[in-house]
Amino acid sequence: MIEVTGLTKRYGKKTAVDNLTFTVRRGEIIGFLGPNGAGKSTTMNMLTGYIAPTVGSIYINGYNLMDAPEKAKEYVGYLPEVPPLYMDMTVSEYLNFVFGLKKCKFPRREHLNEVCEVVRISHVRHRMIRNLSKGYRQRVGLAQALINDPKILILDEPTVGLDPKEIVEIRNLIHKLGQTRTVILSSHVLSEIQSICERVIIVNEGHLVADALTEDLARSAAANSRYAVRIAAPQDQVVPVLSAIPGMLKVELQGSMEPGTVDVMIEADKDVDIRRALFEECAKRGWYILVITPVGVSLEDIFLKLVDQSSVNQPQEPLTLEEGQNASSPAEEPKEDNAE
Amino acid sequence: MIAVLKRELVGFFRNSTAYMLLAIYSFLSALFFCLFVMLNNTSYLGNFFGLWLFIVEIIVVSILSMRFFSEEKKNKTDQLIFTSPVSLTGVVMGKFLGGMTVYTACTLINLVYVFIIDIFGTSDAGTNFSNFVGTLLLGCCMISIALFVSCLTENPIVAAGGTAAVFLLLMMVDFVASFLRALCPQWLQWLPEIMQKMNVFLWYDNFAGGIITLESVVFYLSFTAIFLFLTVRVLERRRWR
Repeated sequence: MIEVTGLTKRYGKKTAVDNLTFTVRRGEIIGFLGPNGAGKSTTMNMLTGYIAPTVGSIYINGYNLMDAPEKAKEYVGYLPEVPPLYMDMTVSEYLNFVFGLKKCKFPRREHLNEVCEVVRISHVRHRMIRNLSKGYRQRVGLAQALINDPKILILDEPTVGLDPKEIVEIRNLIHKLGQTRTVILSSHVLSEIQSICERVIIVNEGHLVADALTEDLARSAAANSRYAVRIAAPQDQVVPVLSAIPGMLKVELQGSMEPGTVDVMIEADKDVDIRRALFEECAKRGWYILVITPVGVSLEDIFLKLVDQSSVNQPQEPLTLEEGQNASSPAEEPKEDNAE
Repeated sequence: MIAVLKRELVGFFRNSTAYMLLAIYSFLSALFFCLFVMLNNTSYLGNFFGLWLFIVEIIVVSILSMRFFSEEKKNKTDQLIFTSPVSLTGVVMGKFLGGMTVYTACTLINLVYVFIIDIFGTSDAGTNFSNFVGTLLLGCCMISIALFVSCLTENPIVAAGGTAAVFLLLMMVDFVASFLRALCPQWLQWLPEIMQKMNVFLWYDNFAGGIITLESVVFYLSFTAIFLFLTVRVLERRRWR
């Protein structure tokens, strides 16, 4: 559906995006992750034809975005970070304008009604856009992206600045839209990506850091099992005793949240069920285990780890999908070879 | 192109910009009509069209230039236009026609003065017609320059100031050219000649006198086409920067 090869954007001496290569298949929901200034919006602007890459190519449904921009753009709906709304128009006028601008061939009235129903803005159609709340403006922005019934939906930080209720509603909406479309969603809210996207592309300082399925990424990072434990035991004995349990890799003292108890974070080999050995050891000494909570690896941990690694040692080999699922070809050529 | 044109018209008429321009045009043109036609007891409108209205047109077109591309860029609505399956030429033409519609609406106010002359005297229909044609052709040139300046900046005030500065420079070209003519040696006399030909306001003289020459029409239309083309090229280039 989308093939990006060697995508590079330079602003003078500053390289905003450096040699990005990835493929997006039909029907995928992809999270585009990265800290501020990582090159997410620049990449999205290039994918939608708003700006041209310095080097590299973008194919949308087989059409080169540089050679046949009008044809390629027909397949894309784009919601930029700031929704491109005309405040002096009513929602209805605006959507009619976008309908004409995108040269839609559908029956106008029925199609606009349908789009308004999908994003739930039918009741505000005759209101001026400047009088709408931020959440509704975002919905109108989403409606304009959907007007041409695009096969690819590109959303740049669609929930930024919204209140928690609006965030949940927009996320549900994106999830629903993703059932029939390819969606690329950029965000630095990691829980959002984790809940919506099946695949994640992480960029940092313009480089591709990882391109993998969300669950594979979590699995690869979760090499060991971790538990947060609260034990009623003498504080000075806990660490040496627990560290001596076979299979225990790390015992980290977290302090004391209740009188007479100790909180520790333990990390053990994932092949060993450390809970049984822990219980036996504590029972033998007459210590009570009050709380034991498994601590999973969140996308946030993975993201921070990968971004830190890439910042220290860049450009590095990006983490990619497993064999047979490969969606990315890591950059092999040195940077100089990709110059214009 | 039609969608962009409609959007431009909604923008101009919804935001009171067009009404403000119509008010400015009405006030200044009426003032100049009183001062230079009525008080001189003349029915000849050539000077009124050919000199004093230039000032009003410069003000109107400079204000129009604020809305073309700089405001779109500033409000980030250009992202919608440039990511839609529409050609840059279509976008530029839509905006050009939008500007021309407002400009023409302003120009039509001058019909009132023609009626006034007709009521109290006799006006030269041929001269009036050629003046209207000339004003519209000059408007095409001015709007195309305004579009070009507007796509160079995202600050609407700079766009308006820049457009006005370009028009003032064009008005002064004639003066600079005569100065250069006296200074330049014989082999360099082509320079002031070309400079003088670039003065879009000077080409209006024929229309003011009631003559529509093919040369003037071709000049105005080609001047407009060149600036529209340059606008498309600048917008295209901006994507690559």
